[in-house]
Amino acid sequence: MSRWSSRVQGLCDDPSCPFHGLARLRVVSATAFDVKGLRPPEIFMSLAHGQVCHGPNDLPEAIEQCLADKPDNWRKLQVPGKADRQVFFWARQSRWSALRALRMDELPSRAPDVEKYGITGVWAGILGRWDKALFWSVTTDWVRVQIDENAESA
Amino acid sequence: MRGWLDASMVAMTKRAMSKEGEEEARRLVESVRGVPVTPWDEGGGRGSRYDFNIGKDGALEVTSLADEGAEVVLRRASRATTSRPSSRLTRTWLVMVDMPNNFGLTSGTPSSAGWLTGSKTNSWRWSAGASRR
Repeated sequence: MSRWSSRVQGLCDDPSCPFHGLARLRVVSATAFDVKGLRPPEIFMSLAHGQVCHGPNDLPEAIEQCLADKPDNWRKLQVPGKADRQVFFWARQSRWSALRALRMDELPSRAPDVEKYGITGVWAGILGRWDKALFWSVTTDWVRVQIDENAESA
Repeated sequence: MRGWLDASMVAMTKRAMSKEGEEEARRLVESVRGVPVTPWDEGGGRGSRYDFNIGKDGALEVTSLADEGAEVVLRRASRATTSRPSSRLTRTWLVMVDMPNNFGLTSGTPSSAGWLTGSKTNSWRWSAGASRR
């Protein structure tokens, strides 16, 4: 670390240079991008480095976080006459741990905490893999589902 | 951490994300549930515009499991790291690979992930998991 730090000192003498901040944060790998409108430059944590998936239960956790972050998703469903309110989530790269969880053989062992939003069912699939997903409801718990190709072609 | 993202960039990402996968979700739900899954406006919906009706009693909203700010960053990163001649990229390169089965490079479990990194002075090296980064 000290050797790396002395190297970047030599690369950049400007005290506002992000290298020094990175060195203080003990960052060992960094990438710089030209981003218009980015004034002053800011450091953000990389999404691809060092993300950890703790297991299948990262999926319900990500779902809960997403519903808390975007209340529109459950508010839209609070309609009279619609007792069955479901949300379909397509997981993207930015929710890396959820993507990993969806690829695991094991299903989540806990239910997503969604009943407080009036949600009765949750679907979760990987963006681009359109034929399959996981489904959760109180009655089914987590199950794997996929398009019935025979029914499709019939 | 993502305060630099201006509102228009996030709004653009939100719009792009809201459309993608809607029809695919509709097909999947219809196939699994065995009932018609129809657009909101065909079911006499009022007020809130969820995406689809599931039969008579169900409503379905399709969305992304994503961090919108992070999606913008990833798109920028993807553009920046796309292979193309660049006079600025002369010192090192970094390739990150999500390898579910590691392609035999390590004896990791199928769920492990890692990175291949290389530079002009160092040969390719495999780093597994987060702890060694």
